Order: sequence, then structure tokens, then C-alpha cells
Amino acid sequence: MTIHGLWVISKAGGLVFSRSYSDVLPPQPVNTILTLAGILHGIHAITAKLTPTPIPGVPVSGLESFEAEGWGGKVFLTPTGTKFVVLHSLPQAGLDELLRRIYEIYSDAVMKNPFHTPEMPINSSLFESKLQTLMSSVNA
Amino acid sequence: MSFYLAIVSPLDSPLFELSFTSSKPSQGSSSTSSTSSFPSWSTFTATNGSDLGTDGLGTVNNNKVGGTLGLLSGESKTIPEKNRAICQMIAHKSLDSVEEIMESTGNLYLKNIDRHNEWIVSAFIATNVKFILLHDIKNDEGIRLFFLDIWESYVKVLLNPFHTVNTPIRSSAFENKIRASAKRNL
Amino acid sequence: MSQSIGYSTTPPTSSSRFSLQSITSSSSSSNTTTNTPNPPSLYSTTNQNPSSNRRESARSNIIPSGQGNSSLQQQIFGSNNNLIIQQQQQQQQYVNILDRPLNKSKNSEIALSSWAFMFSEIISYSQSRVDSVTDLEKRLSSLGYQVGQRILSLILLRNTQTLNLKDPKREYRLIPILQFIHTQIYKFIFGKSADGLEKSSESEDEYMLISNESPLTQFISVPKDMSDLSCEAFTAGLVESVLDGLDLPARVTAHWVGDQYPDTPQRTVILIKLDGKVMDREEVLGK
Repeated sequence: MTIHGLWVISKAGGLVFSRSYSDVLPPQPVNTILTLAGILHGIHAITAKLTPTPIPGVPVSGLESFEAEGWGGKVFLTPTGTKFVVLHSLPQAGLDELLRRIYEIYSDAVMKNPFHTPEMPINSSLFESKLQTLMSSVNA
Repeated sequence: MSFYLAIVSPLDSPLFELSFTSSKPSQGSSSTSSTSSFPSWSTFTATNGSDLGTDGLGTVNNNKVGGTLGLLSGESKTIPEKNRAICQMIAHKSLDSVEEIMESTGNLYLKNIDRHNEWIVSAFIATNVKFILLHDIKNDEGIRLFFLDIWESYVKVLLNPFHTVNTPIRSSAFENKIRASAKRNL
Repeated sequence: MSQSIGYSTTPPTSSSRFSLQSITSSSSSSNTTTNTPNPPSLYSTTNQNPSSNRRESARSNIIPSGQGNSSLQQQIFGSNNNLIIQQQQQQQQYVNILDRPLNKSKNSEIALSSWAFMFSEIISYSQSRVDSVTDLEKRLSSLGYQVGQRILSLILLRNTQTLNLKDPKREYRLIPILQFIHTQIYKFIFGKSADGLEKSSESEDEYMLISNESPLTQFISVPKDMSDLSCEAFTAGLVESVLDGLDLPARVTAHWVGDQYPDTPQRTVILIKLDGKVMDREEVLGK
């Protein structure tokens, strides 16, 4: 499995972080990624509302993954509404574990950083370097 | 037996003071009698043994008890105030000796570092806060235990986040602790 | 009692009050205040709470003598009884700080995450009240200073008490004091000693405490426009107060040197510049 990229989408639907970790997918301009992330956020919100009779006690979640030709995406929603989107190659295995690791790095390097403002673009060198290490271990 | 305890901050400002007497008999006849050979103004104990430093509320200088000392000088109201001031001066005067000695020793308990008339000065340096005790008899072991006790109480007060090193201690509980320890050890 | 213990942890909920009311109204009471014959709604329950409370307290007077209470009564009044016990326990908890044991928390630790979040808030708070990086470092340093004063007193006292020393001592020479900070103080705060203690090669009166990854600031990445800020200023203030407390006045600053050490990108140096007075004294005391 190769990880092509990672997006972090804030609670309000803004793209606060995006990195590409392989050159399989054609690079996109930032504006395109922003739009795509916005669309994904919208689809996620809509799909969360599509269940007519939700089972009591089971939280209703939205879109969890999508697939295209040769690659796919997986959405991980934190309890506070932040979304991590991993773009990956097919077939994929161990994605859940990877997303948990990303969430952990996010909690450590972003949420515990006094210089980060919630809902704003992530500007933490520690976050980037830790992700880089994680991704290169997966992609290797 | 009279005692005067002063706690002095790192900036040399007074944090706490307390004068008290002990009920224990003096050890042997060698101890200085507080009323016979020295001027009466430098003692705390009246001839009837009443403690000038205390009243029911625990305030340190109380002029009410001045009446008992009126026999000694005639200026009844000013006596305790005067005594207190003298003890304060002795305690702060000895700070120089304390600082000189602490530079070259690792001991926390510095015993009998200074003398002034019948008063003997002992000190205890935990950090840069100094405990100074004026006493008129020698009782090294008791004073050591007393210092260890008040040190513990002091650290507990210091650990209070609303207290700083340079804040005077006004806690009556702290005073009671010290009195209790004095009763045990001195 | 086993039934009443079940209530002790929680105050009576509205449902238990409700059951009380339904029990009393069905068994004996003709004096209930209900006008509606059937009060199932939450609104009417809360409305009648005062009356049921009064009844509870009135009946609770009987309890101490009543050995043979039926289980029903115990169920009803147990809650009230245990509330009183709870109150007593709460009163007992208000012990004067001077009477509390000092070493109860000796081996307790706090979670690193909770500290990291709090420290993050401390920095944000301080940052909103300063104009420059220097002021921010000063603020953090003064906070660390207050912590250091307390830690030093506590460590000295605990050392004395655990070793039961007859004649307690403290360090008074420069090198032992620096080693004391390097091992004991660091171990107390961070759970491990500092990664290095070095003497500056440039000047006689400068020493350096080195930590490769400080637990305090390991999650923090400083933005580029504040690159000369080191949040380890907190530790610097702490070290300064310990030195001050042991009569070694010094100026202590923190510097990030990770850019020179690619293996340890978070390496920080706590630089201790000793007061001239200290160096003079050391010379007098000899080697």
C-alpha cells in the first residue's frame, strides 16, 4: 500500500493541512484541493443525514471511504469533528491503524502546541516531520 | 525560658515573628537568669512567668499584658513594644553572621552563632529563607527538633500556590503549629 | 445497610423521589399535595419535590432509634441518611494544609498529556499579554522561578525526612549544587536526569545543562517568526530559583540548539551564567 496524500479538514469544512507523499497522483493546484476538500466535507455531511431510521445508540457517520481507478480515499472523523482523509493505493490494509497513528500525532503535535489556533491552517514543523517519518515507513 | 522566633525572607524582610516562653525548667544553674543580671527591658518574662507574647487571640504584641510589667519600669504600655523591637533588631543584626557562616558550611542548623546580652542566636537555613531563634538557655537538641518541625510547616505553607516566598505569614494555624512544637521540644 | 449503601454515592435522583412519592401516596398518605390523581409527568414531579423533601427530613428523625426498619423504609430513608454521612465526610476533608501529610503525594505522577495541555494554555495566555519574545520568555521564566522555589524546599525537606538525618545538610559548593540540579531536581520534575552538564569552554563562569528532548516542550513547535523563542525558559527560571535558593545567584537562559544537532532536533541548552560573587567565593573556598 502506498499513501499518496493526507488532508486534514477542520470542523467547519476548511482544508487546514494537505501534503502529498507520492507522485502517483498528478499534483493539483492548492485551490483545486481546497475545492475538493470542500466537496468532500459537503458529501460527508449529506451522507450522514441519509439514514432514514438510525439505530438508537449507534452514532450515524457519513462517508467512510471512496474508490477510484487504482486509488481510493479513507475518511476518519474525530469526535470533535476534524476529518483526516488519506489518499491511498489499492488494495489497502492497515489503514485504520495508520489513521489512529495520524490522529495521535495530530493530538500531540498540533493540539498541545500553544502556537496553533484551532480551525486555522496547521503550521507545525513537528507535525510535518513526524508525519513524514510515519509515511515513509509505510510507503517504504 | 524566653524565645523569639523570626522568619526572614530572601530579601531580608520579616515574614513571621513570634515570642513565647517555655514551661520546662532550665537545665542546671548555668543558664542565665533572665531577670537578675541583665537589664529588664530585654526580657519577655515577667516575674510571675506570664507570657507577654500571647493572649487568647494569638497576637504577638499585645499591650494588655503590659500591666504585669509595669512594676519593672513604670512605663507599662511601651514595654512589650520595646522588647519586641529589640528582639527584632537582634535577629536582623545576626543576619550578617548567618550569611557569613552559611557560605562555608552545608549544615542547615547553625547553632549559637551570635550573642547579645543574655540572648543566644541560633539559625536554620533551609533555602534562602532564614529561621532565626533567640533563646536564653542552651538546648541544642530541642532547638534542632523545633527547627525541623517549623521547617516542615513552613514548606507546607510555601506549597500553597497563593503564597509566595516574600509574603508575610498571617496564618493562625501556622502559629498554633509552632506553639505546639515549642511545647514539645523546648 | 447494603441497600442504603447503594444510594450513598449518588444523591437522590428525581426518579427515587418520584418512587418515594408514589409509595407514600399509595400506602398511607392522604395529605399529599397532588391535585391531579395521576402525576406521571416530569413537571409535576419536580413541582412536588419540596413537599416530599420535607416529609423525608421529618421522618429521618425516627431512623436512629428504628432498628427494625423494613427494607422499604431503608430504601427510602437510606438516601437521606447517607447524605448526612457524605456531608460529614466532606467536612472532614477540609483539613488545614498544615495538618495534612506532606509525603502523601510523594510517588504520584501526573499525566504528561494533561501537563502538555496546561502548559500550552499557559503559553497562549502569556503570549496574549506580552509584546515581544523577550517578554514572553521573562514571563515563563518567572513562572518557573516560583515552581523552583517550592520544589527545592520540598526536596530538601523530604531528603532530610527520609534519611532521618540528625544534622541535615545542603550543598554549598558550586559543582555539587550543579550536579544536584542535574540529577535530583531534574529527576523529580521530569522523571530522568538531564542529558548533560558541561562547562563552557569560553568563559569560566558559564555552565550548561543539556536536555535532548524535554518532556515539557516536546510537543511544541515554535513558528518561524519567533524562532529565537525557547519555551524552555520555564525550566531556566526553575533552575535559576534553585540556584538562588542555594545562595548561588546566576542568570539562567534557555537556548534551542537543535539546528546544530540533526539527531536531536529538540536539543536545548540551559545556560547558567553565575554571578561574579559566586566565582569569588569559590576561589576563597578553594578547590
